[in-house]
Amino acid sequence: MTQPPRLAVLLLRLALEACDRRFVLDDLSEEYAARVAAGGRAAAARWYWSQVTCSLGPILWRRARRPRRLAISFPRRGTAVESLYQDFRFAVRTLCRNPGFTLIAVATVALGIGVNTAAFSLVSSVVLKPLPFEDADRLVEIWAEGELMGAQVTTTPQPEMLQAWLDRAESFDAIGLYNEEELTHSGSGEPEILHAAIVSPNLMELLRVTPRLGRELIPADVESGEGQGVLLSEAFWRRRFGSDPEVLGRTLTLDEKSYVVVGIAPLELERLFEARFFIGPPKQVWLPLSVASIRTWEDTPFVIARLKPHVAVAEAQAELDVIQASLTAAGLNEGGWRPLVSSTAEMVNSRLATVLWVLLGSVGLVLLIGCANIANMLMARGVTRRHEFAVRSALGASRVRVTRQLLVEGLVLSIVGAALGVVLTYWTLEAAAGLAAHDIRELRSVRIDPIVLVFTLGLSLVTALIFALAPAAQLRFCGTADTLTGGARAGTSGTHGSLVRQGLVAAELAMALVLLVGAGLLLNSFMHLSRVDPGFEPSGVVALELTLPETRYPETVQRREFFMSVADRIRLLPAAQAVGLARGVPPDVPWLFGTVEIDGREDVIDTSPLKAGNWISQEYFRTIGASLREGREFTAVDGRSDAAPVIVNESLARRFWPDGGAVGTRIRLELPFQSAGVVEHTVVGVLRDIKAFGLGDESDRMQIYFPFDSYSAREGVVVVRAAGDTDDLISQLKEQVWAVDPNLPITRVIRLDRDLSSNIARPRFNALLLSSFAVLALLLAVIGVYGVTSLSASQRIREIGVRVALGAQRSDILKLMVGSAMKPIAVGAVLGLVLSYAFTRFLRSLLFEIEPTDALTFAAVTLVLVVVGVLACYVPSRRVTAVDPIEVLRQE
Amino acid sequence: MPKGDFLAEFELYLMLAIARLDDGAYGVTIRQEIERRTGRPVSIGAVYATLGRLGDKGLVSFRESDPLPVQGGRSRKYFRLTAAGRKALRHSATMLERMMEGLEFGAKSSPAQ
Repeated sequence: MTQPPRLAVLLLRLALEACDRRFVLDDLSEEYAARVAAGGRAAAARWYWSQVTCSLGPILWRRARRPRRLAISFPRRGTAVESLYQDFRFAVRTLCRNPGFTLIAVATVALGIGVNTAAFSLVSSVVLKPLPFEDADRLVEIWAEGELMGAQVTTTPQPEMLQAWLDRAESFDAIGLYNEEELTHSGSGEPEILHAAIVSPNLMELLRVTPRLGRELIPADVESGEGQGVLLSEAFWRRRFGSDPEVLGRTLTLDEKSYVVVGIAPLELERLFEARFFIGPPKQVWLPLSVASIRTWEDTPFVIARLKPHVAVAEAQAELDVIQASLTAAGLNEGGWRPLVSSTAEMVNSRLATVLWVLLGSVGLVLLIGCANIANMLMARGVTRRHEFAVRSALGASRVRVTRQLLVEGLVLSIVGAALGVVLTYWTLEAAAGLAAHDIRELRSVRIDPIVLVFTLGLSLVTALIFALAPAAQLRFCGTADTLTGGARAGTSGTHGSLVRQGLVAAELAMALVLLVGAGLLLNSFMHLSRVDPGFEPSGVVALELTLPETRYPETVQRREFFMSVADRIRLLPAAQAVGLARGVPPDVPWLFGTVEIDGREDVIDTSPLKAGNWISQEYFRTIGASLREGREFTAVDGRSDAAPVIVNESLARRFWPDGGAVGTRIRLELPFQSAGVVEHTVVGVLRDIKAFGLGDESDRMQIYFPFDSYSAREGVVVVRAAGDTDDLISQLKEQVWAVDPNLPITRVIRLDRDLSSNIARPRFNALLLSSFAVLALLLAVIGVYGVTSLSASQRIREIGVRVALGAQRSDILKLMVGSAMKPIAVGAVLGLVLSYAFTRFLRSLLFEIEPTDALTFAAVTLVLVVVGVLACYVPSRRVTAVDPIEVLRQE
Repeated sequence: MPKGDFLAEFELYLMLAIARLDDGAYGVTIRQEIERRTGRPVSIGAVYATLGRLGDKGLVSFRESDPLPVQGGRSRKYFRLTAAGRKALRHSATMLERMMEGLEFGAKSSPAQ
């Protein structure tokens, strides 16, 4: 009977907070009942409504203004998931309330994880990714190991070894052979050089791949003389035939011989040879290889085999060793060769190992520094949040619960950071590819893949753990009662924490120093490299590389005549200042493998069998801008002279004739790849040293030059020094070549200065990469120093106030603050130097004319670190010196 | 009590009402006490909101009574001044008195005990 108006009750109920709801409604009902009794229901209801409408304002106003109770909420009993969710929400709220801290922390994680994911993507796509073939772990490469002219080499097998493997080895399902060659494609349109893979017909079956179109090569393709089968690469098929499926059955003229197109090679095959086994340009055609055609060592192909199931690499190795022993017993192993079976993965690993390990090591350090930094920041926050933790534990939160809370906060930070880091990775990889893809092929195929994402996730979990553990450990050292009564505020009980923080900063600085030293060494080495004098004048020099087809130029005389007449025609061009002929131009000069002996100088033993050699015409040195130190250049008759004249370089001359007198002497050359036995030559000139193999080559590389007239191979280079613009000249040069032979393709147009600069692209990339990581590391470490100093400054502010009140000068305070901050800097620098000394030797193979322990680099980099570190602690220290002691002491 | 933090007028009324009502101060009596003495209508919502604010400041505290011994009997929220509340009230009243001293409409009021 005496129920107040329902709608009004409902309104009020909605507006009121839970804690007051019952009391307010009951209070109102009590009065309402009294008013009904006194003045009737209508008046009471009116009164009730006016109460409700006037109450809504103050109630809602208070609800909006009321301070939230965040930090202290009674732990509600709930499921584990529920309380975890609570922790998560609380973490998000806590982080949102400190946007500055959160931003820096997330950015640090994102940077660390970003560079790590990028590096891991690189490693994963270059090294770890399994080959795109079935049972790829059973694929092995077989090589021959031995000693050649005093050097250890791993190379293709001798023909006898290969034949014995094919006939007798039982460990393999199949043995596949692979070779590469350049062929002239003619007959339709402009003549063109094609990169061909010559493969045994079983290779595709061995790799378990099938052609995209048509059939694979079969043994019958090898036997039939004319009309052998050929597979086209996908790219060549698209470019030359517009992906026309009707291409099957058409003929293709390669080196004047006709082949029948039988299929399109699968993409996997292309990728295998592009990125894995053999370094060489992408192949356009795949031809059959016949074992019968392999007669000399030069003919022998690379060998890939598939192990039988359950046969280990070591067992196959043992079997081949036994076969080799029988060959040796039969007198068929004069060279003392040993077979070497190695899994394909190992081969790839060893090729790129150094650079990748350096890369992974440095990005790992960046992440570690980042973690240390965030741990530091979290610990600093832990000091300010000590009160909150104390209240929580006083209210019954166990340490496990508080630690879990910290863990969840770390987790939130690192997951957000990781997400941003992946975005950053995309950018990094794109930037790296754009920067270096032209020169460094591995970067082109790098993608972020699922494995990398898993890696990132793992990384962020570990990061979270590291973050959270530091402040959680710190928790153990602050007593609840102390903190609540304000005792801990004095900062005296923070000694342990501050020791940990200083340790972290020292570690950060040490790691940053390692990276800085590495970057300094690479930069230093790069500067050496770019200052190297090549010994000749590459700018304005262009060259055409030509390969004469065997079929039309079978005789040496024809080949020489061709090159001579091209050179003669070019000489008449006004745009050509000088013209020379050669086998190759720097940095692609042929290797000369062999030793030198000189009558009367038996005391000097030639221990460096790898030399540079070249076959050159009279004007060659003038064309590239090199000069002789003594003697003469070749003359027109030198090629046919019995004296067999040669020109040697200064390094060789200095070795055998330290006091001069090389010209006119007879030397004996043993060059197993050029000629049988020992050949006598006469030195007619000494060339000032040039960098024949590029700027990074040894400075005392021995070089021997022969007259072009004595040259017999099909490949050659026409070198021209331009009188003016090189671009105009190149097209004129091509015309002159085609005027002599209209069907001859230009294998390559070489610009000497560009090739020489691409030579230093990789060192430049390495230096740039490590430098950017080092700068990043330094930045993070500086943030660390700054953070610790400002925290210690704010903790010691009362102490400083007292000191100032007792008469300390500003400079005294500054000395005190910077002095105590110097401790971790000094420790970090010493530790960093020791670590650098231990680690930089891994960089040795990347360094040019500089020792991994170069004192100057070490000293300079340490100086940079210390100066930057002192600056980082000077700024917050200076701020403290401005405190007003009265103000500080009053706050007691 | 922090410097410069004066009690608002309505807060003062509320605290005076609680002081007057002694042990019997709960929503209904407080509201009626103020309404009766000031002659102004007072809403229950304003009373509770302000009491909440005073509670946050530590000037009033409350206890819940046992349910009344009748069918469906309810419990009440009884308010009382804390030590700090009494101090604040005395402080405000004193200042009010000082401010009014000598003014012609100065009313005699006894400080709350």
